[in-house]
Amino acid sequence: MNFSALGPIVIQITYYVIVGIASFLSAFAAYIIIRYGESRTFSVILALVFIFFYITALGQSYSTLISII
Amino acid sequence: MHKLFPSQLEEEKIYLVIREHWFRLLLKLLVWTFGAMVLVSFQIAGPNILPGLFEGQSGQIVKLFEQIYFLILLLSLFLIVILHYLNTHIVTNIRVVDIDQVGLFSHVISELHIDKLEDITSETNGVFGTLFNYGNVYIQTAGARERFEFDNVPRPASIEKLILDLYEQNSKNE
Repeated sequence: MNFSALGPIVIQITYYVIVGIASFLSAFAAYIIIRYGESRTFSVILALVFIFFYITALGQSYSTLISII
Repeated sequence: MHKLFPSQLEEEKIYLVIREHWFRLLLKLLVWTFGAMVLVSFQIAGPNILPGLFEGQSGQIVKLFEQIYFLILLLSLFLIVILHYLNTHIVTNIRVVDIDQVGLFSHVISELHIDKLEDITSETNGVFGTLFNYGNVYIQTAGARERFEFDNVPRPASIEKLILDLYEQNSKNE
């Protein structure tokens, strides 16, 4: 078994699992604040600001992953 | 009319919309800040303490995990803010409404008509509770849910007084 080839695969799987769960929770959190928030305007703005920063950070981490594999 | 809760009536008057005291939110944000400082410290001190770890392929892997940690920090900050925002207690002229967002997947709304109130207690505990005037309000009911709890709310004695005044007002109107 070629263990050195396993390294990038393990990193990819770890990345996709962690980021997948975090992304699902983020999307769900944005949904519930828009659905249950007292002020619709405030809730939408808060959700959009968070989504913007989250997607920016997600893009950077994905670029780093691509550079590794 | 924008409703704060689904069963809100047109003629219903909202007296209070209460959330957890800002000091409690600040404590949670301080814990979050500690987590953020761990990342910053690692990024600053790491290359000096373990220079080999931050070079070449291993450096890229370390950078990836730093970015994943940052994503989790961002998510946790958002969760702290929305859980604070979505957990509310509402006092109207005819009822008390407790909206609990328990984690992400549980949203519970409990209502108590003011005339079903049996007992109400307010308490302020501890140094910070006394300094910043926040504490708990407990409302005993005759309904399915025996007790409403307003945890770490500002001015608990004022809330107790308001609810008692509304109860007396309701009793006179009947």
